[in-house]
Amino acid sequence: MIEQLPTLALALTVLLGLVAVGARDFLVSILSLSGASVALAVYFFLAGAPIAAVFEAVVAAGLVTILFLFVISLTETDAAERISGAKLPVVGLALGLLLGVGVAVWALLDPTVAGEASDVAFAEALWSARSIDLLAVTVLVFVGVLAVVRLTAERLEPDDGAVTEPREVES
Amino acid sequence: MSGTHLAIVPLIALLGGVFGTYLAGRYAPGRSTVWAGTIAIVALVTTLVSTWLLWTRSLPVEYALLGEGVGVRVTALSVFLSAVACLVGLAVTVYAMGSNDSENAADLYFPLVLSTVAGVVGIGLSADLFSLYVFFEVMAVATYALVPFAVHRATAVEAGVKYVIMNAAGSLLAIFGISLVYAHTGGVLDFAVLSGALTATTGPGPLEAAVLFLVVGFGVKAAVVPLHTWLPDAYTESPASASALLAALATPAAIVAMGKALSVIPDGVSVGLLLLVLGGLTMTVGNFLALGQRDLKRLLAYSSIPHVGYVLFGLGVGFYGGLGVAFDGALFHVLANAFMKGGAFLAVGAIAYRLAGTDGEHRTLDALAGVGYRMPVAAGAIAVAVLALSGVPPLAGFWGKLFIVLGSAEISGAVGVGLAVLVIGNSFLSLGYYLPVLGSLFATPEDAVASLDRTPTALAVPILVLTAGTILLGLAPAFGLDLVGPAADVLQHGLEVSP
Repeated sequence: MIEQLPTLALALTVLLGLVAVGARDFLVSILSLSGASVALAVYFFLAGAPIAAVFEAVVAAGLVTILFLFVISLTETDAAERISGAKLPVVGLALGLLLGVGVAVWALLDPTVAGEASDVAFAEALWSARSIDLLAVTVLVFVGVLAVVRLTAERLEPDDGAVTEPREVES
Repeated sequence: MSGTHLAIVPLIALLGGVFGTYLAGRYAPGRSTVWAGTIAIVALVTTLVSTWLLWTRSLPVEYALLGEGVGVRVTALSVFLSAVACLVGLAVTVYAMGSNDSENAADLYFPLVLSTVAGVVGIGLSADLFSLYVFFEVMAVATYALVPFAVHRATAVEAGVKYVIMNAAGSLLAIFGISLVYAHTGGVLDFAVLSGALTATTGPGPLEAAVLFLVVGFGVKAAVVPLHTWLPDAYTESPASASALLAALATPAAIVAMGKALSVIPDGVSVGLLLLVLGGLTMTVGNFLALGQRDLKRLLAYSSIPHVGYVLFGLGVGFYGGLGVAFDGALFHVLANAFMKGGAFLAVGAIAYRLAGTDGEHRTLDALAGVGYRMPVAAGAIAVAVLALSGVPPLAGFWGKLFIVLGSAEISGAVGVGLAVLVIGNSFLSLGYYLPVLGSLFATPEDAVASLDRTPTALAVPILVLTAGTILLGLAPAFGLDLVGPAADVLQHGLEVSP
């Protein structure tokens, strides 16, 4: 079973990627894309590239998904209705579950499957061998936060003279 | 300062600028645009000066942040990308300070502009394939927020959603391609040794798959047909300075990133043929899509697609035939495109800025009839830009296309001639939509246009500088070639560092 995991992770990446492109519902697309990223992160980890796995999980599955959700919540579509209000925790739960599954898969794995990457090597690799990428990722996360702040500006400051305000969602 | 420390200055200046502009915009109420803009200009000028100092040294220069591990590698290609990025960044920043593009959110707008520039500079400086991807993402995430920056417009948010979804999928494919290279080489990603570690296998193998993933992954951001569908909406709906940043810098930089990633692929894999086909398709389809557009900003957006095609086609010819002149042409066109497209989008923005208070439609060619008599600077800049874009000599757009045609013709037999004719034919095709723009700008003025004020000075300065660049680069292409030639050599011969 454990030998088949990389293939399974890759197959899941492709499958979820196809769903993300093909789905008519934005919400399904976003969650599938996030799932594809998690599956790819699992594959990276199995392939012996834990740093790539961490970045993929944090940036692609985490940050980009949150960006998507905020953007969608600003549009006047069915998806926005489902994200807003009482439904938001459900979406959050689904996302958390998705990430949780990824983390659980990592935790359950035999560490030897990941090749040479021990904890010490991982920390060393992260802090010294790839310091330039770490610097870039710091800026990347900061820029992501700025993007989220901008995209939520309309909701946070409804009286700032905007031309059109987001329509209130009927419950 | 030692040569090695200088290598990191361009990046540090820009990354410091990202945080500096945020703080200035946040804690300087009332004058946030002036402060944030000024800090952005200081960061960009520092980057430009340090790039120039690096240019005068013997390249490549290597530097690792903590003295070990993966760092940055300054090559002629880094200098080229850094120079283009800073020039476009400066023009965009000065324009954004004079217009209302930042929409009272200077603490967000200027950091995003600087991050885009930092991403492009990082693409040039990256020493390995994974760093290249990370900096590519810095550029991409910054533009994710710039496209829907006018969040109060539903159309802008819609364009933003389309842009983010397509490009996030592209990024996923790009990193997947990189992971295949990583697996193929057994953990080697450094450009200096990568081409030696990659060996072509007989028949389709993981390396061919990696090339496909890299081309499609970076190709989405570069708007290569058929992955271009996000582009018209994104360029049209973003603020004028953000459109200029995307068209003049981010999209061409994605092609260069693709070229840099593919430069390490061994000859056994037909990268050149793939890029040739995609480039030919992109310029032809892009030109047909632009034909018949009546909305000026949308027309310029569509016309960006064929220019991506020319650059891709140039790289394709270069990789296919090992022809230096085609690489020169591709990179020269990236440089020329920065001036032409940057000037054109900023000028369209200046006209929209003046028309903002008036009723009715502002962007169609009919509504803009005669604007050349009221706003000669903006309309003149558009006129110069569209002539240059269509490849009329002696403007900047002519030389890049000429080098690409010369490169194509060097491929032996009828194929070479056919490829050259394809580029020339596409140039003539583009006149079909550029000439109506000229006709409209200098037609009899409409009522709304007849009462317009002149181009505001703060907006006219960056527009005039970019227009002057378009003309001067055309009259004296040697200046551009000094910068482009060595950078093209790096792309052609890979990024190996002699021990």
